[in-house]
Formats: sequence, C-alpha cells, structure tokens
Amino acid sequence: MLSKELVAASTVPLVLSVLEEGESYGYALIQRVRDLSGDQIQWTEGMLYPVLHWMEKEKLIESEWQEADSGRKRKYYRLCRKGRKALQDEKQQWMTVHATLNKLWKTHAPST
Amino acid sequence: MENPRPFNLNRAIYLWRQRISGSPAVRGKDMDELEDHLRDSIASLELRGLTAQEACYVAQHRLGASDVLQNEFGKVNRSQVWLDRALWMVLGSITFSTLYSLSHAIASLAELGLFLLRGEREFVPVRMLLYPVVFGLLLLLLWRWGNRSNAALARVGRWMRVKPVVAAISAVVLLAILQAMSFGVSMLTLRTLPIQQYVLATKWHYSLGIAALLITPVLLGWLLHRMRRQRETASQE
Repeated sequence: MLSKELVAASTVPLVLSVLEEGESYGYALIQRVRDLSGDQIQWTEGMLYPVLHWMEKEKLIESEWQEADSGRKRKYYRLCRKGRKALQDEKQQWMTVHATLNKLWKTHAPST
Repeated sequence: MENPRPFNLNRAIYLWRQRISGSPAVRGKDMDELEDHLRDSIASLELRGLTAQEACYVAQHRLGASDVLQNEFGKVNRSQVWLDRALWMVLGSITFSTLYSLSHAIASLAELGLFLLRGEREFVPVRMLLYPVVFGLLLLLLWRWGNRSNAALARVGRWMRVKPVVAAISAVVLLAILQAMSFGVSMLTLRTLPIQQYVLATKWHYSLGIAALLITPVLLGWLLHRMRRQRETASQE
C-alpha cells in the first residue's frame, strides 16, 4: 500500500493524465486509476471530489453537466489549457525524481 | 416476525442526502455529484450480487462518514463556511437583543406593577430577580421550540435566503419595535416612580449588567460541555 503522502502527491498528475486521454467523471476516474495501478491506488470519494473542485477552481480542469445513458445528469471533467501545461510540468518533475532514484537503485541493486 | 418494509432505494438515498448536506461546506451541486457517484457505486455492487439494500449500505459506507466529507469539502469551500458562520453570529446577536429587551421590559413592568399594587409606598427592585428568571425562561422556551420544530426553522432559513432584503427590513423593524418598547418602559418608570425611587431603580438597573455578565459565560460553558458529550458518545458508537 502506498503512503498517504505519496497518494496525495500523485493525485493531481494522475487526474491530469487520465483526463488527457479524454473527458471523464469522478466515479470513472477512481475506477481507471484503480485498474491501472492493480488496485494499489484506491482513491476515496471524500478525497477525490474536493481535489477535483480545487483543480477546477485553479482552472486546471473544467466541468460540464451532461446527460448520461442512464438519463441522469453527470458531471464530466476535461483538461484546460492551463491544465495541459501543468501536466507537462508534472511529467518533468516526476521523470526527474524517477530517473534519479533509478540511477541510485541500479548501482546498488544486484543486476537482475 | 413481521414483514419489514420493502427497501426503497430512492428514499434511502434521499435520507443519505439529508444527513450529508447538513453542513454548509457541501453545496447542492456537490451533493448531486456525490449522489451520482453513489448510484454508480450501488449499480456496480449490485452487479456483483449484493441486494439493493446491501449495495446501498456498502456504497454509503465507502463514500465516507459525513463528517470526513464535510471536513474535506470545508477545506475547499472555506468562504462559504465562514459566510454561514457570520450569518449565525448576526442572528444570534439579534436573538440576544430581543431576549434582553423583552425580559427587561417584563421585569420592569412587573416591578412597576408591584409598586402600584402596594399603594406607591414601597419600591422593591424585583427586577434583579425577575430579569434573569424571565431571560432564562424565554431562552428555554426558544430552545424547546427550536428543537421540536426543525421544519419551521428550515422554512424560515429558506425564506431568509430567498428574500434577503425583506429579511433585513424585518430585522430593522423588529429591533426598532424593541427599542421603542424599552424606551416606553423607561418613560413609564420615570413618570410613575417618585424621584428617590427612580434613582434607586436606575442603580439596580445598572447592576443588572452583572447578571448579564454571568449568563453568557454560563451559556457558553454549557454548550461546549454538551457538544463534547455528544462527540464522545458519537465516537463510541
């Protein structure tokens, strides 16, 4: 299980990345991340929705109520321009950390 | 064993909404989104074989306890929370002024009445006793009424939000009436009592400030104590 801090830090880049694939809504976002992470990342609704609203306030994403096939109204989110830029920024930051850790772990771990 | 009532999903979700939306931090649209999420959750659980009732229970439990949700939303909707708090503070101030003026008027009139009944001979500053008693009684009545008529309070709350200008004017009118009443009682006291008794009455009136000084901290202490007890019993469940 991931640490709380890691889950918190990775939420925004994960949301931005999933939305880059196309617009989505809260429930689907949680399911997608859970599937992708092999059940390792299990977001709770209480955690995700406030983050989504914060991201919307920061103009990283925008929302629209659309009618789902069930006839209900559903709130869909999609990336804004500012969000795409933020995503690029996040990608760079995470790649930097990943590359640095990789270098350290490659030199210390026995060759696989 | 009697037949339990058939499970009504929409009603269960409605009740859940009532519980969660108690806080000002969670807005109507937020509730719609959460409800949509809840229904998706229930649908997928039902696909896995749970009954509607079981799915509803599990989904609600997973969605989170209401106070956690309210906390999280509160962090994001901070200004809304503070607006709501400011409203309650102003309402509290108006309520307090009303209770004070009413109890002052009643106590003063009772005092005058007693003076007149005793043939204008002896002046007994009964207001020292009457004022806190009347204030306490009115407060108790207000508390009881507030506790029992949730629907009436909700209606008043809604009316205030829908017609803010009318609500503000009503507040002004109410406070003006109270002021006029206090003024009237003071004038009556001045006219009725001979000057010596009037000075005595006025001295006692100012010492009423001591009684008022005691009421507020006692009320505060009692409220905090009750809230702590409630939280303790809630966390034990």
